[in-house]
Amino acid sequence: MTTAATPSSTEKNKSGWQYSMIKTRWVWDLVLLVSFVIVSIPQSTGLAIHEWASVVFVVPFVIHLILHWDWMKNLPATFVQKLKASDRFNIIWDAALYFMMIFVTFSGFLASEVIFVQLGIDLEVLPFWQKLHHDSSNWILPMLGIHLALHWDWIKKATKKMRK
Amino acid sequence: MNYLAEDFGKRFGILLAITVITGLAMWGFEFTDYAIDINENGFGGDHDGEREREGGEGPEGIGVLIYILPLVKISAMTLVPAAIWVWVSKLVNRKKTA
Repeated sequence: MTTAATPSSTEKNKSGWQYSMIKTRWVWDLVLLVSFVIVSIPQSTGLAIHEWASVVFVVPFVIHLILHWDWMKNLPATFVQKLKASDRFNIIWDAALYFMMIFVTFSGFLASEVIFVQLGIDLEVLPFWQKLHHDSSNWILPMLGIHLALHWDWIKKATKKMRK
Repeated sequence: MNYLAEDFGKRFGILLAITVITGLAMWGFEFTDYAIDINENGFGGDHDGEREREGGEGPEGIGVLIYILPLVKISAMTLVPAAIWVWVSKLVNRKKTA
């Protein structure tokens, strides 16, 4: 026996956040922020959770980039056009933040003291990567703060939409 | 969610390529004099705090603060610059419109 979906139930089913692009972005950005907080407090969580959570963190980070793909794709074209200085700065800042994130993640893996040991991989941890990871992970915090400030209007707009 | 699935492979591939290229470029730093110096002489900092947590004991006497202080630190380091940024840009905008 099959039950045919009435128009109203179909409409109701499609009112979830996953059917709205802005709401999908908002939800995944929240997931990203929460995961970022978890991976940023190794003193509280301990190294093992910090390192494994960092591996999982890659997923919401990639989804964040893919969900904002159109914005990134238009960067080169919009950058050469007549843009406001603040928009140009925003573009440069986001690119810098992306590379800093790669920097933190990559140096973190090379400074890993848990994952490789648990996987039985013999990797010598060099103090240089530890220092680089330590310094870059401190730098990324104010960079993220300014990233949030630069996109504050979008965050407010999306939050209002989520409440509706 | 269709948007996420659309061209996922291509987009993921581009991100992966940028990440791998950046990672390989970063590896080059390991051979600089600066890196060699740090590897030979150390930099005076390590993950003492984290190691202590791994052992199940935080620094003596701070108790539950071991969980709160790192949160306070990252919140301050993130939100203070954000607040300053918003405040300064509002000031600049007000001057422009005045």
